Amino acid sequence: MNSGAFFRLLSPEHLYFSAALFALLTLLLVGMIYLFLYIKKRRFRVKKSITGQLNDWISEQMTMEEDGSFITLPDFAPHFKKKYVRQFITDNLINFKKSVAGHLSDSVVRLYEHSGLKKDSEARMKSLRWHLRSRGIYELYMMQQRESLSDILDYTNSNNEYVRMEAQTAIIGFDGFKGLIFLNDLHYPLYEWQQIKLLEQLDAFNSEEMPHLPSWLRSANSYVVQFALKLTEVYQQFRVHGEVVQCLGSDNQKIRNQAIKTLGSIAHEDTVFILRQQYFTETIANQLEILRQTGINGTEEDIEFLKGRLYEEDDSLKLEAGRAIVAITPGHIATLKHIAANDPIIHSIANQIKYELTS
Amino acid sequence: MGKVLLIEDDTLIQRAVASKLKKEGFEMVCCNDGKEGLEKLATELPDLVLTDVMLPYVSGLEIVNAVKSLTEKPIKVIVFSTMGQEKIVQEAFDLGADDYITKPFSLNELVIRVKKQLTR
Repeated sequence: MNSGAFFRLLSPEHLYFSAALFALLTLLLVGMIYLFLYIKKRRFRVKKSITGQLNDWISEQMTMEEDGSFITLPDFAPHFKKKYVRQFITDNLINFKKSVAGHLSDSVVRLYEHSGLKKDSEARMKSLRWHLRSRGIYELYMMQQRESLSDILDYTNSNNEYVRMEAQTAIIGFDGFKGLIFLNDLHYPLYEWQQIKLLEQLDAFNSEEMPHLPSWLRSANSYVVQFALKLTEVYQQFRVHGEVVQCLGSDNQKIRNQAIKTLGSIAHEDTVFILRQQYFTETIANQLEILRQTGINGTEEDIEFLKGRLYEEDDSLKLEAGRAIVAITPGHIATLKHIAANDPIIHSIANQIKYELTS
Repeated sequence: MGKVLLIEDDTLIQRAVASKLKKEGFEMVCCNDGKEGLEKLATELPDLVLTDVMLPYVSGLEIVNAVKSLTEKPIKVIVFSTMGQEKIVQEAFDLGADDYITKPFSLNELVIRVKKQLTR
C-alpha cells in the first residue's frame, strides 16, 4: 500500500471501513499472539511432563541396575507422534548420557534405540538441510550407533563445512586413529580449529600406527598435509622424516612453517643442516621458526651460522638468533656480550636474553 | 550415613545421583541452582556438598567458597566438572574443595568417593 492509498483510507468517506479494517487487524494480531502463547505454554507443559517421566524412568532403571538386564520404556505415547517431543527426548537423553557412564549410560542408549528415536536421527542425517544432517550425525555419534559408521564416513567429505566437521568428529570418536582414514579422500578444507579439535579427541586414545601418514604428507589437499605434519609432530613419527623434508619444498608458506616445526620434533643429525639450507629461501616467519628449532636441536657447529644471523636487517631475527646461541650453550652469553661491545642493538639483545635467563 | 546437599541444574542428573545415593542410605537434599544451594547450605547444614561448577545465579566455585569459609561445621565438598575444566577444578581445590569427579562419571564411582569423604 503506498502512502496515498493509506491517507485515502483515513478520509471521512472511508472512516467506517478503515475502523473496521484496523479492528479486524488488531483482533487478528491479538488472536495470533494468544495462539502463539497457548502453543508455547502447552509445549512447556508437555516437556515438563516428559522430563518428569524421564526422571521416573531413571529412578526405576537404577533400581534394576544391579542385575543389569532390565529396560523399561516410559509411556510417552500420547505425545510421542509429535516431532518436537521426540527431539526434546533425544536432546535430554544425549545431555544425560554426556554426564553418566556405565550401565545407566548403556540403558540410555537402549531407550533411544527401542523408542524409535534412532530412526529419527537417521532420517535427519539423510535430510537435504545441512543443519538437520549435522544434527543427525551428532545424535548417532553421541548414542554410539556404530551401524551408521559407513554413512557418516561419506559425510566426512561433504561440501558443507558443518556436516563435514560433525562427521569427522564422529568418525574419530568411534574409531580413534583408524578413523583418520577419511583424510585419504578429503577434498575440502580441514580448518585449523577442526584440526585442534581432532588432535584433542585423538589424545583420549592410545597412540596407534598410521600407515597412511606418508600419503597424507603428499596429499594434494594442503590442509591434509598440514594436519599430517601436526600428527607427525605430536606422535613423533620419525619414520616419515624424508616426507617432511619434501614438504619444505611446498609453495604453501603454512605447510613449510609446520614442516619446520615438525622437523624440530623428529630431528636427527642432519635436520639442522637441512633447516639451515632452507633458511635463505624462507619468509621471516619461517626463518624465525628455523632459528627456534636450531636453538633446540643445534650443536656447537651451528654457532657460526647463528652468529651470522645477528647481523640480519630484521631485529626479531637477531633476537631469535641470540636466543638460539644461548640455548645451545648458555656460556655463549659471553660471546654475545663480546659482539655487543661494537653494536648497540646486539647489546640490547644480549641484555634482553640475560633478563629472560634470570626471570 | 550422612546428609548430602546436591546442587545440579540438570534435573535428570540430579534425579540419577539422588536416587543412587538415597539407595545407598544417604539423606538427600537437592537444589537446581546456586542461589537455592546457598540457602539450603545454611538451613540444612549437610555433611557433604556435591555441586556442579556451572550453575545458574551462583557458580560452583562460590558454593565451595561459602562451604569452606562461611560455615563452622566441617563440610566436605565434591565438585562435578567436565573435560577441559581443569583450571576451574584447580580453583575449586584452591578454595578448599575435597575432591572432584569428571562427567561422564559412573554412579558407583561417585558413591565410592562420597563414602570415602564421609569416613575420613
